[in-house]
Amino acid sequence: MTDADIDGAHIRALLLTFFFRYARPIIENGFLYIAQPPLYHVKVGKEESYLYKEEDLQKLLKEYNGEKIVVQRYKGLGEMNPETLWKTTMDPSSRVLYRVRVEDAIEAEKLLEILMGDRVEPRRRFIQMHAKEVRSLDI
Amino acid sequence: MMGKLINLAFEEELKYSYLDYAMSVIVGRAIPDARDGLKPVQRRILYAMKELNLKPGSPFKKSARVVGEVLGKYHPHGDAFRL
Repeated sequence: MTDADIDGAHIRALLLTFFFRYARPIIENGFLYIAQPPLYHVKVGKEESYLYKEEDLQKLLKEYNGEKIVVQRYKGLGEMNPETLWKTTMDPSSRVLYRVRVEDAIEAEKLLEILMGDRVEPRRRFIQMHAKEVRSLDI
Repeated sequence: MMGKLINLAFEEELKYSYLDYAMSVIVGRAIPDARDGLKPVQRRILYAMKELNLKPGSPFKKSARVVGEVLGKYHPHGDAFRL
């Protein structure tokens, strides 16, 4: 579980690398999960909801165009109350969990070498080649 | 209601988590803007100082005041920018 921002994404990449390199059986046996903490808390009138994606917020803002909407962005897990984190992320009856599976170990190995290896040039090329595929830019 | 469990490919998640971070840092953090030569963090510091009315002629303020202002209002991260 990491923050729902880009730094959280970075830490997730580092953690994935760690588990792949030093605790592979945990992944192979299906014990590695990624939790989904919310990105926004939104309140419209008396209705409350939690949003997990930037697109969802844009959609909701359009839907309730003009109405009074209170949006709170969670900048990290650190500013959530324990109850909120339970409700949104950890409660087994409602949470969304991603189970990590290695589909192609050779491909994974190659990717790790590019992203985490000592050589900078392949990394630069990778980023340039895939720059447009970025899921969310956070600035 | 039961929670949801979704399978995710390691390779995909690694690639996109890394790209999100790398691209966001390149576009919005690490490169100075050609117009003023400032990175966003640095601009935040100057802006906070302006809002504190901290100018060449004005009385001194403790640097910690500026740090607190930047951290609290504009920079939702650590305080490593003091360097």
